[in-house]
Amino acid sequence: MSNAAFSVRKSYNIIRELALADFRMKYHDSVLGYFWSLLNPLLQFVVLHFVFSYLFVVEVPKFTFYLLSGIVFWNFFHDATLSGMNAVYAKASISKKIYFPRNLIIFSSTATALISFIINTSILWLVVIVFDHFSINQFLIVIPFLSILLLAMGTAFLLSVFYVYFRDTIQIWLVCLNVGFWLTPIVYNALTAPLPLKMVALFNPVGRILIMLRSFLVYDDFPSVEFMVTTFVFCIVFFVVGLWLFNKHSHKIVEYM
Amino acid sequence: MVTVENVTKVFQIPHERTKTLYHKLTNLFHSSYSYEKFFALQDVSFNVKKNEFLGIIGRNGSGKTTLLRIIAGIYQPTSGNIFVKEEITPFLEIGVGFQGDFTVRENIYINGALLGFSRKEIEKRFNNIIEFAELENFKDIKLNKLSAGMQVRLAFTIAIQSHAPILIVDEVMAVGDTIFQKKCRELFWEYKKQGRTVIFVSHDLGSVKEYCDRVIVLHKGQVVKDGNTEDIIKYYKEQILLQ
Repeated sequence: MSNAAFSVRKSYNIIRELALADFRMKYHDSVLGYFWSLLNPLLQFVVLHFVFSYLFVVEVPKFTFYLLSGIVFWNFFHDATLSGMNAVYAKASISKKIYFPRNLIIFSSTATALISFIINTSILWLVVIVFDHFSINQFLIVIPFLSILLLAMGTAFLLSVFYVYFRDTIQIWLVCLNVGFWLTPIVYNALTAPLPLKMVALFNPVGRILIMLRSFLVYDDFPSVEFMVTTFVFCIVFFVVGLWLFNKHSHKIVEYM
Repeated sequence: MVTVENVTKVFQIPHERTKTLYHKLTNLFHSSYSYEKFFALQDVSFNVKKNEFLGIIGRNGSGKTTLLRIIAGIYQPTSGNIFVKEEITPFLEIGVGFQGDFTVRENIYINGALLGFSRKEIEKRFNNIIEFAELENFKDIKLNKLSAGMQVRLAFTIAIQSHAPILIVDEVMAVGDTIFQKKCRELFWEYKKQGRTVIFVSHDLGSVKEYCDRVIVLHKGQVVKDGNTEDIIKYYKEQILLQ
């Protein structure tokens, strides 16, 4: 086949050009431009903060930062998985004309979502430093950051494989994300939740990533090493399995489009 | 340079399109999933030698595009093998890897990257590409706002930037005005002089006759004739087109 030396450099160039063009397109025609991607989670935060601070009071220490960090990470997972699945379809006009490793489609759509994620996480961290505290341990948020990145890509790979065969995967996944939002400890505390919810929240990889994130960023403590290692290893394995399955089915992705 | 060995490509055409999970599930209980096999290519074998300008002709639906896609690595053959010794640049169905909702500039950068150029190399070529494609006033316009002719000019200009030793050219002359066709003509002669390997698909028998050293006739997914240009074109006119 014409896989003739797809160097890392060439792949990197393709990912960068696709990701930047997608990012520009996403915000080009709107008046507020990039601020939309900030405004959206911010509005979500304001509404949820109001509801769970005044209407149904949740007992979570430092709830503001707790909620904000949950929203930033969840939104990345939401956007990256959805846009990854969409990209396989949206990029068919390119992939039908020229060969390149198909997984670059997912890498580039994740890179697009990653741009917003990096900016939003920086803002989140800044907010915590300005309004709460700074600690050297906060640099450890790189662990949950990488974990959710791997998890989101692994999920996008798996969903894309399903999407080729079942066109309603997007609708199903939208429902899953809606339910997932409430099964993940974003607005409530996993440890004090009622038992069935507690179990779900603790087995949910996004939930575990959020627990790590808040320990480092908000509460300045450590989850157990075992907890961190199992979560991180799970995300790596999930990414590898997703990538492997995607590559295995990748030639069909073009033919079925 | 390119060896095609007993390549068969089968597409499954479902009788009923079941694309959603809901349909698949309900179909489990009602009727079994049935489909027809469509042999787009059947046991196709040939090779392309170095420096050869090979023409492939055949009627619509004879499998030309499927064959080119398989050679370019976009499709996988159902059975058989393809060996490609060097890098290939495909230029399929009047287009490269364009995405309509990106601007001309973005499409140039993306396709440059797909052809293996670094950002600097593309920047260096950018003005030349725009000039050659005559798109000076359309750099930051979304691609799908350009006319078909403009898109072809751009695609062509991008494809010829490639230094790949093997080139696949599919129906370039069909669209485009006389000036554009003249540019193509000059370029193909330049390629012949350079000794590049070109796989050339066209319905325009005149240009096939002009450039090709050898021609293959595809008919209903099979190679029915392979030989020197004059004889093959004569055969094609008499046997296939008059059928």
